[in-house]
Amino acid sequence: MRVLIADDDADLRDLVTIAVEKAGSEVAAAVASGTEAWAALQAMHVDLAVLDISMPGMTGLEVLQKVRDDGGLRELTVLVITADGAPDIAEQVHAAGADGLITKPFPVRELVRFIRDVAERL
Amino acid sequence: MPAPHRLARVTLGTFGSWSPILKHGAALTGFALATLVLISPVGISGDVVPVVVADALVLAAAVFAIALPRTSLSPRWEIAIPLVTFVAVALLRTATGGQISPFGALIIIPVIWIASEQGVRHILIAVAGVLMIVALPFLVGIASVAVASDLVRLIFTPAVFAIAAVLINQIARVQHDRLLRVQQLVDERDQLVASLEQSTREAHRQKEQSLEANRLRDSVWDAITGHAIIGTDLDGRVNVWNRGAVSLLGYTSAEAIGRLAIADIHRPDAADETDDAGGGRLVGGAEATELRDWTYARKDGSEFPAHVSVSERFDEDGRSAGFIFVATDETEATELQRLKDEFTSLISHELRTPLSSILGYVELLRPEDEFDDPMTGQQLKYLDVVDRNARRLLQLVGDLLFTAQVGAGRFTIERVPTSITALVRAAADTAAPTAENGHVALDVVTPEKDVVVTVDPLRIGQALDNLLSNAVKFTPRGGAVTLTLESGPEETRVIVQDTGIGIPADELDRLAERFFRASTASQHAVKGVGLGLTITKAIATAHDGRIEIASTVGVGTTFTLVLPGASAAA
Repeated sequence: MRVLIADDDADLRDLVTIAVEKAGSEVAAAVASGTEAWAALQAMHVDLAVLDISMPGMTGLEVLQKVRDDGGLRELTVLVITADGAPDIAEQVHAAGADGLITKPFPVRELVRFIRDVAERL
Repeated sequence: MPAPHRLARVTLGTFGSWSPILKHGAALTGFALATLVLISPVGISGDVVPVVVADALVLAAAVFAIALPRTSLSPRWEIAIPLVTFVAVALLRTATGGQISPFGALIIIPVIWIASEQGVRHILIAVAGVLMIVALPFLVGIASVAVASDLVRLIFTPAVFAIAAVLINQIARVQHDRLLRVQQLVDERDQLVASLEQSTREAHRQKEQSLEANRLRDSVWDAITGHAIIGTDLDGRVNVWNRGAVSLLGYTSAEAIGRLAIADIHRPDAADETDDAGGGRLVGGAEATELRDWTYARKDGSEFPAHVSVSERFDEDGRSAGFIFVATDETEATELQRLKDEFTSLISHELRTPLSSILGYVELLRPEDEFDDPMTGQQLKYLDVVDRNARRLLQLVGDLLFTAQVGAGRFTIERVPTSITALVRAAADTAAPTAENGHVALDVVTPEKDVVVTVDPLRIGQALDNLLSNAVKFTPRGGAVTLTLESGPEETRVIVQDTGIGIPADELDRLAERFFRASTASQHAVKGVGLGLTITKAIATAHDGRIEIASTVGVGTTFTLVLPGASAAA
């Protein structure tokens, strides 16, 4: 399974990369902005996108919106990661059409389990 | 008391009110004429001595009449004057021929005076006087009953005068009664006039007061330049527009009063929400004072967020007369709130991201199974320290975010029927390791039956964790913490009692302030930032409950979380 990772924090990007590898999947690209993420999604095939919300250029939720509005990418599995502690963040993310939400900080085990589950369903 | 003065003015001109000398004037004139006749060469003669005595008596009576009003004697003594006149007439008549005297007619003068006095007895006095005058010539022997006509005259004359006296007395009485009635009417009229004047003055005073109150109200309203005060009638038509309204909304008073409707000021879609373009329902919805956030539109079409208090107005009869809107421009407050929210969110995000890395990589460092590279016991211990401190920071960030949400009023709870018994036990389980490490005994007392109350289980759990961890933290080695659950008919109480260091009485009220720490906490070097109780109190308040605190320094502290609602469990 090919995974796109988008997070502007390099250490966290690496942490997610490690989790993807631990889950036995392949990192298709690890980018630092929403714009790069959208470009990557159009340039290559991925099975799962792990998007941070707060990113320069385009936010994770804006990328998600474009994905859900796009004919070819509509069915892509998207996991949103956020450090936002707003009480209604889960509702917002769900309303935007995400398949999962992980709040920072998160146990790496949990992320690994989520990626494995997605891979099994494919 | 103007009434007696007016009474005197009205009675002037009636015989009864004449001065004694004025009344006596008739007798004086009569006697002067008689004396003139006697001394004239007409040829009527009489005894000089009685005539002089009679004149002297009349003159003496005149002196008395003049003097009487100036003495302290009762005005009733006035009666002496006509009585003396009777004697004078009797003397004059007798001295000038008795029955044939030409001056007998003078009798009428004292008779009128006496008979005009009030009361039947005056008739008798007058008749007695006449009798005395008629009888005197017979008594002194200058006349005798020679013929029948003499006897008739002796009886007839007093009888005629008696009838005259009765008539005069009656006329005087009727006149007197009429006068009394007139006086009564005059009194009533005076009272009426006085009370009318009084009510006119009162009405004038009230009008003045009312005008003064209106002036005061208007100047107070106009002095409030930071708030728009807008009054409307029941249909929402503007009839009050203060200077604050002028400066906030751009319409002058002349442009607003009578011309604007409240719906013109509320943003069109806000008015549309009430399905009433006229604004009737918009204003009609406010039964008591009500606070609302609205968007207001200025004259130039620009808009601003307004915090509006709406109250009903009443007229003097207590009937609803319209509404008063007090609007505050919330532009700055809204911007400030937005900046605060943005800042809190930024801080939260910026702190959580590095913490996520720390915790994530610490997790990766730990060997997952026997195939991973083993770590020494010391390395694992260091790793624990990093992990624990990262989690403390995380907790702090969470608490800060939570208090910011409470402050912004964006803190909501989700109530579901919850076993408080289970929450209390879970809190005890969480605190147990710390209590054990600190050698603090932890006792839990719960009722036999499960206590179920409708609360937000996450938040109440958080509140109990805060109270219990505080109690354990502030209780020295060897102390005890008791957690008691009580289920009352109207309230559920969770009591956390410790044998800790205590809190000074003057600091109890400040405990729930953000970042406040009791002096005893700092002295005993107990770690903390002072957010736990702020959060716990906010949670209690959100549940319509409260936190009760009782403490004695050196003895211990008891915190009680009181939640409304009794246990629903059977």
